[in-house]
Amino acid sequence: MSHCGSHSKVNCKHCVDLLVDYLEGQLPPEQEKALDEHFMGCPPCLDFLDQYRASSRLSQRALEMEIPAVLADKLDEFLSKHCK
Amino acid sequence: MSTDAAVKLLHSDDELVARIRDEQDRASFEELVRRHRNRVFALALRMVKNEEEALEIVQETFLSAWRKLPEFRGEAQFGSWVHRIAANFALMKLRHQKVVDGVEEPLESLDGKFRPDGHWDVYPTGMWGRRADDLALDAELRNRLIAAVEKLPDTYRAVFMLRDFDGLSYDEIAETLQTTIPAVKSRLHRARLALRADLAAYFEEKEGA
Repeated sequence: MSHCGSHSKVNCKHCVDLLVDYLEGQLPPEQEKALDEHFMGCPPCLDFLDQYRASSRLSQRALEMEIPAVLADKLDEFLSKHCK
Repeated sequence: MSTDAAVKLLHSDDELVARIRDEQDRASFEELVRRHRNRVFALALRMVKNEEEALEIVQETFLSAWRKLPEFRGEAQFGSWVHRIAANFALMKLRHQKVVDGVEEPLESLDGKFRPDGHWDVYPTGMWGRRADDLALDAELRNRLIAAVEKLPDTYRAVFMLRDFDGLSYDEIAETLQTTIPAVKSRLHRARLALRADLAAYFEEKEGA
């Protein structure tokens, strides 16, 4: 059963398909407005949008790291030897 | 820290690049390496999934940057430039290992989750997306996220890393991967969908436990 109560011009699948451009503000104004209206009336799509954004942000945090000290030393040694 | 090293901290990447180009200034190069080595290593490690091979990529990347710096005219940021070099080395290494065979592996598809009228058939449950910024990233969640990224097919992983981790433009990524901007966006979208599906499964397991 769908929980979508939206009466906008776009359906849920359209919204999901356009998320990359929507999140970067790259959609034509009319299309962006149609998606805004859809999200306001569609809790499942709003949840999905939050999850989609969160997946990228959480991954970015998880991927942050420092090069291990022993490898950083090897890198310095390599560059000292080869960068003439 | 020497005075020279302390002064370097005050310079932008562009100023350090100019010093290297004009004066072959090694201290400026060392400062640039220090600034960018962690993120270049992270990119390389997630691409090849092996620390020793990732180190080789980082070494070759900075050596190549040193050699090519005289031609670098600052059309791009130094950081973007070295990440593109590193991505190329990583993909070359993967191709050598015949991991990249030109055929894209299938990724999570949402096709079955919509009714023919384009509305949800399977409700994307869970409120975790709303509290993601407040979530503590413990070892379990961190490892799950890293595993999810490493599971992505190579070209999808490269696009995701270059865009969402390194912040490169679509133009830069398309040029690096020798593909089109629509193809980059499509891979990025599918990579994010796959990560979302993986995380949704994780939070369902946690909440059901």
